Amino acid sequence: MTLKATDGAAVEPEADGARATASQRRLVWWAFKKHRLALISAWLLIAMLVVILLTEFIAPFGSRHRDSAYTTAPPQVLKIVDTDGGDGWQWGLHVDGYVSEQDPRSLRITYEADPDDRVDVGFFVKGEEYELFGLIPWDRHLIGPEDPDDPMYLLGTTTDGQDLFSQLVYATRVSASVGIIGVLLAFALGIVLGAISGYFGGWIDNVIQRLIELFMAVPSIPLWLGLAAALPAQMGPVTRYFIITTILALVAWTGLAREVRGRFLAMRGEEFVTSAMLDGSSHRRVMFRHMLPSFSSHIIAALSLSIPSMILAETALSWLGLGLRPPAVSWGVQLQDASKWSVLSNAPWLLIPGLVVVIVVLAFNFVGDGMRDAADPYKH
Amino acid sequence: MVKYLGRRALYMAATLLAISLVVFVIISLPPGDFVTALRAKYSVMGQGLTETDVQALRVRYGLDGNLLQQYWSWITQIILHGDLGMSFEHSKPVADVIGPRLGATLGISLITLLMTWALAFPIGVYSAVKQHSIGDYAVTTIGFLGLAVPNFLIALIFIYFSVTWFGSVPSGLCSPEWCEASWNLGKLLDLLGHLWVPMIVIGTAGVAGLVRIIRNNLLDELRRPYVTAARARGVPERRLLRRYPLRVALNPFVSTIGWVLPLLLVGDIVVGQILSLPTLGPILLGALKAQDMYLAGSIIMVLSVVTVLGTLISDLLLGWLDPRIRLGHQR
Amino acid sequence: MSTRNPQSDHPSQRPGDERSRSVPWPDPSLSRRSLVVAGGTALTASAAGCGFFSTDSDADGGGGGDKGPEAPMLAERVEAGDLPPVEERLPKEPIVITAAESIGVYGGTWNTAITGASDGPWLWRTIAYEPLLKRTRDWQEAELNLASAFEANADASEFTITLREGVRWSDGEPLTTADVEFAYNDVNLNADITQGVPPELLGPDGEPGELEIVDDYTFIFRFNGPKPLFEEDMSRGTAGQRFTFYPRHYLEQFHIDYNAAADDEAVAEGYDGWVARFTALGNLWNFMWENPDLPTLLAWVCKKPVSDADHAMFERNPYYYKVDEEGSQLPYIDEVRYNIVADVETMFAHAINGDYDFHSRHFNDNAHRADAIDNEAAGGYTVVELESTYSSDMNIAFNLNHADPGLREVFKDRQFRIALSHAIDRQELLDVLWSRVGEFSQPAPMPNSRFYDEEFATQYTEFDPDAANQILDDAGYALGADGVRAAADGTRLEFTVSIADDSLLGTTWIDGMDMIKDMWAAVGVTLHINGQPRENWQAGIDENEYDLTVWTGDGGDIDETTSVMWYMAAGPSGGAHWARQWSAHYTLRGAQDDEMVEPPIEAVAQQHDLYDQFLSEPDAAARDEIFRQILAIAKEEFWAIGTVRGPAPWAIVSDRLRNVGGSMPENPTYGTPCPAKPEQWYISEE
Repeated sequence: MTLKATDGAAVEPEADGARATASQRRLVWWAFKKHRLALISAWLLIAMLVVILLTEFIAPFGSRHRDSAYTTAPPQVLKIVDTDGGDGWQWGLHVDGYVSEQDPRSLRITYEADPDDRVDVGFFVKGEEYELFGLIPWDRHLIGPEDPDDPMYLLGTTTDGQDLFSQLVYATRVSASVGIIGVLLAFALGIVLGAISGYFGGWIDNVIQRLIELFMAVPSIPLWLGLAAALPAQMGPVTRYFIITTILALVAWTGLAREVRGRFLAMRGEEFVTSAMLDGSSHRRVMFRHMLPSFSSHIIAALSLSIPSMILAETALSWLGLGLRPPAVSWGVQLQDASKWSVLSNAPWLLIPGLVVVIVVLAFNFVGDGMRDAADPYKH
Repeated sequence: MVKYLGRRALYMAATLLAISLVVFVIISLPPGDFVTALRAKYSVMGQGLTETDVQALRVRYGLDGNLLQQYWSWITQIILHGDLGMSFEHSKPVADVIGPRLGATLGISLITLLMTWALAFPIGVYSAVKQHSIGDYAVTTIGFLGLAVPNFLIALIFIYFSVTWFGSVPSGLCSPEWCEASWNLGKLLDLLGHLWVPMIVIGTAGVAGLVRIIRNNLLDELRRPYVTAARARGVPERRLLRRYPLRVALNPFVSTIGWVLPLLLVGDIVVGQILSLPTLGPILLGALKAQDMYLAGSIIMVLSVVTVLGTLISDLLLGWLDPRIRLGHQR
Repeated sequence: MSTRNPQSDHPSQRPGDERSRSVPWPDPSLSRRSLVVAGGTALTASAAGCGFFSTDSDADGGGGGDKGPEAPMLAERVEAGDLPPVEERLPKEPIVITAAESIGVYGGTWNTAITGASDGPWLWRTIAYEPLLKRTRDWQEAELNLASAFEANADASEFTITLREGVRWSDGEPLTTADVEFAYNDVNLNADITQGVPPELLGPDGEPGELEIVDDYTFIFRFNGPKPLFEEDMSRGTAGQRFTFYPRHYLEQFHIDYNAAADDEAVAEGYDGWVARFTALGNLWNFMWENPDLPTLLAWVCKKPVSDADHAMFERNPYYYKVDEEGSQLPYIDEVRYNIVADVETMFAHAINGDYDFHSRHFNDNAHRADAIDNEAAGGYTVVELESTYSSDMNIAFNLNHADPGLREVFKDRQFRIALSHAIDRQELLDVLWSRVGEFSQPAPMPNSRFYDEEFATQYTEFDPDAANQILDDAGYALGADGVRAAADGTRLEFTVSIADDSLLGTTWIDGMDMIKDMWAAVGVTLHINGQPRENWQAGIDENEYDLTVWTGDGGDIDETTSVMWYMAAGPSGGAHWARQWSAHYTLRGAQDDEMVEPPIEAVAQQHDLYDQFLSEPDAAARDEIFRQILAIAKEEFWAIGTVRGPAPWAIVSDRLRNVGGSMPENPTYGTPCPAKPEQWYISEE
């Protein structure tokens, strides 16, 4: 994606001259661009990355902010013009406050927008203090109420009075990084073992293959359940989070190892490998300098295709009560809170995290598909 | 061929043995054991147990030895007598607990598998032939949606709309009035009325994966020289597709038997829990939580055997379908 | 029998309830042999000599519209010769049950749900309450049930009990003292089958009582000292059925003492041994729901066991020993059907779809309340508010037996607990988690209880962080540079709360403690939250590996004197969460003292002595006085911190279900709804 910075876009990709002299990277990029959904998805993922990096800045409220006056309040509409003021149109970003009512028997609290109660909203407003990247102390938030005590809940609030939008931003950081870190770990394992297996063949190959078969034959969810239940209960949410990630990785590496092995096996006889070996390159150099880069696009494709299953595994595990547990916040925890009858009947906004999961999973899939289609630019 | 089969069988046995050990270790990892859980149960009923009582219980349930001894007695019983041990929680032989549920589990999985194929094949072929078209995006998006929406959420949403629109909850496999009835058309319709939810929820996740494989296989095949040559000779597109590429695209159906079945069985844990299906999933979850180790271990072993057997069958079928693969194996 | 203060405002004393309370001890003269049905056809009953019952229409031969003395499904079987006539199936003096609202009709199914085979409590609460004595609906008194006489000697150490003559097991075999003998000697006292003799069978010295069989129906149970509460024990769900759980004629074949081949047979059937088979088929947790062959004394017997499929089915017991005021055999309802639904939200979907007739468990919390009420009309049911008996919905228990000496000293410091109680903003908790409705409460008897003490119930509940800081300062917990206090010996005030987050109130507790985390941080105390599945949580508590935990305030009303865990280090379920080891020390009489980190402190030992006196005091009023002394110590010591009591739990009652009789207490000892006598509930299709 960093390729975007090059001036490749200015060159007419289909022009034969350019095509003949273009680098492999550029060719892949041209092929990738054809897959429009993949392109859009890539941008979405970049946006997600920004959210992960600037979590505290983007969230209007801190992760522990709770407003006892507004539990399960619906989303507010962000308005630019206030026409209810009585004295004509008033410009300025704002949301309407709430009026609430409680049913005496069912005890349900219902909220409605109160046009007379205007909550001014601004960008880069002062709010709760935080440390950006854990280093830089700051108190500005991308968007928020001008008065930090006012209610501004663009996606509504949770059943215990937390701002859903802020919670979602925090959850994105946890869940998306579970997926990404987990996949990276799995890939390190998969590539190394797959490469060794495919490159050397023989008994090494045999041993590694049996190992892979073993891991593949143990059904994964029971494996997760068993391992997650085995985690010492006294473990804090952060440790728990890293260990679950590692567990997910331990299960996920086998598929990639197989793919890498297959490629190595096929490539072993190719001329450039033989010549590199004749050149006196070490095994490691041949494997990771010559052979691996030749199918790096495939690896990136496989990478982005396996992140979704990691993310979904996190949600499923949390739902089963074996993954992250509240008060830690993640997509899985939020979805667990959302899979309640009362949410479907009266607080559908709490399903928004589900929508985000769907979009992110789709985006990773499309990017992966695009990469895979584009991985072999000479095919066309 | 016999030699190949023999070697495979040997590998299989070794793999299964290794799995059984891994499974046993995993199950024993969580702190405490069934007697800990039982002790809690006793105290809820107002009965305090002394350490001596607890020790006696451990002896009774065969939990007094070390892990290796427990494993040894479990695995020898299975191999020598086909005895899966006792379920502590259900206090009856594991086989009696699993038996009645195995049929429903396999039945639901097979029906779901068929539905997955029926959906995945046309979508996969279409999106490969019309690569990068709006239609391609539309069908793959729909295919991926099933993968992207967490199963538990989609199941609950189905239940919600089923209640608000049809006034019935599609949980279990039958409605109260039909459960005891003998088989007739009405009961069949009732069964179908309950089956569609697990079918869709469990099946959709598999569709996306299968679509991708079919699409990629077909794309690879369509780029081969013989296709280009045939096209140059003026063979109509439809016939061109039917001649060979489609057959290759069918390969995934065979090669996925091995891993799709266990995947479906596993998807059944979450969905089975929500829709209270009389399948293995929910009791596996319960067994893992209650540390009912022989029951949990046996269920996982059954699933593993199905996986390993499925892989073998699909390898054999593939070899029969495509001679190149068989040669590869015998290298 | 303990009696309540007459002036105590017990909510079940509502107009509609009067009848159900009016017959604490059934008068034997009410039920006569004259109930006998004349002739072969069971539908024509003779009313000769019996003016109490209006069976006129039957005597007139009208028959058609009236229900007759037994259910049509049984009448058919009598007709076919499968079953003896109803008068032979009923005991000489059947128990006459007064209907809560109206005389019912036969037929129908009571639909309800369980989460699976391990969900025993709801099965116990719905169909398994047939002890020797039975509590009245308002829990004020005990009445005769399986026993037709129950006499204690002067010092309450010897009890003469007579079984109701002619009561039969569900297969038609008579219930006699031979069954009692088998149950006591061969099951309860058999060390292979029973680990730990149940406490109700132990005398004050901890030794099991002595059983003497007098004749076929009379037996004497003797302790080495006074045990006045034995009578109360015999009216509780499990405890009161210890002598009558085990049909000797059926279970002997599985018992090694009666069948030498029992072990080999069991192994051949796949069990580990005879104990495993005996347990599976007739003892402990699931036998009544998993063994359809087991004869029982319950109103409904197992037809389709719990573990098989997606539902379990129980059918009327043709030999059930109770009749209505017209002499018709109970129960009215043909079948009880348990839908097996593992997921509570799915179960709730069934409930608001109107699929259940009575249900007061699993989902009857505050979070589901609004949806349940909104769907009343559509689902054809009514949401009935139950009477809460939990003093508080979330009690916080610090582990006074903590293995770490530093933390233990902190937790044992009463001032520390008082300060942390003042640091909790209870109104905030109510607003966020309990729909803004409820009261502040400490773990103390509730206003309905005869032990209510307003000061005990409300002490230290006002939110006052300044006072909290002051108390902590004075008690020597100095504020560190990082904003966290430490005790004089350097122990930081930083703890982890263990929460069983999949219990009914689990999510509320997690959120509640998450809020308290901030409140306590403001007074220099750091809290971490550790939510776990119930099983893991329980293991941690039992192994004494926790700093603090939360649970409901059991024993607020109805069972103050038995569920004592918030008042003293004792009680069921392993005892007090704030002192498990001291509780074990008391209940196990020192058998486990080796593990104890510290012997009980003075106040705890004093309460133990008082409770010993309480247990052996024959006079009810004097007993209450002793218990008040125990409570006074609890109030002074302030063992654990209470929070708030939110809206009461509720039940779903189908509009077609009659005779439930309105609200009732929600309590595990009470066993909601069994004391409301489900056998006289009926389904009306009008």
